[in-house]
Amino acid sequence: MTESPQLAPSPLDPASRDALAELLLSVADDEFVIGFWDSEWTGIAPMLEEDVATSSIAQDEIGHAKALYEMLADLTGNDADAIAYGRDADAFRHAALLNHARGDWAFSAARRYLYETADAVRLEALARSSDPSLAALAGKMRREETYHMLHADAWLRRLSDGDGEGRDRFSAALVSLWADAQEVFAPLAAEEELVRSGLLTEPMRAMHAAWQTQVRPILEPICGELPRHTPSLDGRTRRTDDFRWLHAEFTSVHRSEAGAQW
Amino acid sequence: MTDRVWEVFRQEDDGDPMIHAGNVNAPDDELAVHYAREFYSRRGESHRLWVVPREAITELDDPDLLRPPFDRTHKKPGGYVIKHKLEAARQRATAEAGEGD
Amino acid sequence: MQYACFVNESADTIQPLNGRPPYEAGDEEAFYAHVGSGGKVEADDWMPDEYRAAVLKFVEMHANSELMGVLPERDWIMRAPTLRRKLALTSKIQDEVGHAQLLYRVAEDLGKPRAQMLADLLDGKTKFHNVFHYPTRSWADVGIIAWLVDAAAIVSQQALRDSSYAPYARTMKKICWEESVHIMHGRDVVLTLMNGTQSQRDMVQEALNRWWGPLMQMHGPPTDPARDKDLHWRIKAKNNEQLRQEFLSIYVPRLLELGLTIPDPGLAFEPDEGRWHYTEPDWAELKSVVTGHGPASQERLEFRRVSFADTQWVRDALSGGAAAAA
Repeated sequence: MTESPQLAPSPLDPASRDALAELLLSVADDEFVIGFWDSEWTGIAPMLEEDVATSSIAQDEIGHAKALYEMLADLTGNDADAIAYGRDADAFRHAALLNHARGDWAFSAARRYLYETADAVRLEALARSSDPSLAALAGKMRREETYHMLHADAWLRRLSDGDGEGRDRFSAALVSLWADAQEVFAPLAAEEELVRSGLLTEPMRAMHAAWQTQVRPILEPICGELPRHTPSLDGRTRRTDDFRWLHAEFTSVHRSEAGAQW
Repeated sequence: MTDRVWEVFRQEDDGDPMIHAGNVNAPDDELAVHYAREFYSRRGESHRLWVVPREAITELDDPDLLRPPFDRTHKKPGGYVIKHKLEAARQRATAEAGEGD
Repeated sequence: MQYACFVNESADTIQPLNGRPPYEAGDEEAFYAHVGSGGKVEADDWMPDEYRAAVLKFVEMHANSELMGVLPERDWIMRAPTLRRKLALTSKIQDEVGHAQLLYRVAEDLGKPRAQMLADLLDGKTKFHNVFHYPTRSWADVGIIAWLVDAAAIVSQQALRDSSYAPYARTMKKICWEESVHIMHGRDVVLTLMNGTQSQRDMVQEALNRWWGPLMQMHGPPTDPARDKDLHWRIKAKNNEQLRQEFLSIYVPRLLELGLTIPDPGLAFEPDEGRWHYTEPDWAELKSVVTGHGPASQERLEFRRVSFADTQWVRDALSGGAAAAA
């Protein structure tokens, strides 16, 4: 159940509304899925203190997803929980970076770093969106994400310092995740409309370029030269067995009793 | 892993005193601050935190220094009990005023 | 700030309140008199070895229980059926990990390193509370555990806020405050199910049927107060039976008012005696369970061992790199 009252669909024209819906869904699904994978560390992180920190970050992501689903629900006359829990796996629109299970600590840390840096670029643009609610929400999210970025950066440094196992694992994880990381900037179907209306202040490929410029100097000293990739057309539609497993798990109780309250 | 302990002090609201809240293990200063935030403000319950390595704290708990045995009541409000004297003075003043009628 | 002065109304002078003289290091009799009459002990104070060992054992088991207590509910983080429930459940379990940290910190300051405590737990040398040795089978278990298991725990924990060992007492105040939120979450989950479909209500009753036995065993068998050192030294302030009675008095009515049946035909309140009668719990089962023979004991300890082993490289990486950070 959403907390905000059901509003009539927004007064935006239908093309803009559909474009905004697609944008919101992509960001919401990213936050939702990464929140799921990282919340799996609750109880089993390397140290108790770190366990609590990682869980907070994962919960923040779910909180962001919830706010985004609620905004989407208001826009389309729907219900946030129905959007989150009522779709099939193939209807999810998260970036391929989030298709992977959490892996070991280095894998999660590497994915977290890649996601946080990309998300920061995206959020900075969304905070200037022509839609005031979206701009405000993005601004709020950025304030929480500052802490996420500090934490992701702290772990990048700790794992990549020295020549030991930490560096090897982290480096290998970066290399294996690199191609899928580009997909945070996968082109959206309605991108032209989004840019035209100012909902998105610049196209995804411009954000992608900015992100590359920012992260290569930090990552390449750790894992060597990273290949050039452009985001793919199916960057937000291709799924994996890992995600299908996740989807089956997280919908299991919700689906056990159609329409029930929980 | 060689952990050290950091003590955490928190302030509930702007202007309140810093109060000792607990402690965290961490490998270094930077993560100690992250963890202090988690344990003492993840619910938004603190306005400010001080995160201090345990070895930076000097403890004094000698009762001879803190609560020495000789009378120090002249240093505290409770050392000036005027109830009886005030009562006596009021009675005298009232009586004098009555005599003067 | 209190300006504590004892004013003797009938005297001309007032007497300062200095408190009792502290006990001398090594004076066991004075120490036990101090704790027995409500005095407090800090981590750096001198204490008899027996007292130190008793507090450590008590706190260590508590810490272990919080850590193992994460596992029964952890699976359900993944399956929580709404966004809000997912947040609430993850937050609750996070709190339990936090409690483990707080308690291991208290224990560590008594002299036992955390790594040693974790190793002893995983080797089966130290114990954790019975309720965490049982499997969870449905979403209703999540509600029942968060509500009733946490409630039974909070009844103990409130009594511990006055423990003679001050660092433990202070920690218990923080823990009680945090646990009160868990109970509200648990009760909300149960209420939502009870107001839902028949099969949801059946799910709750079924969960309660399975959990009632372990709940009744949770506070432990009645002990002889005269021989209970933890009571004497005020490490804990109430005995097991008092805690169980308190739990029943609060929670039996709250269960019955929802239309649930408590699976103990012998459960009844005797007004003349002012206490609950109940079918004697199976103390042999309790003993067997806490020594590692519960239905999920070995599986959970093994899960912990594997996760701990899987992350050893991280702790090792931090040892080497600590100086290089920031």
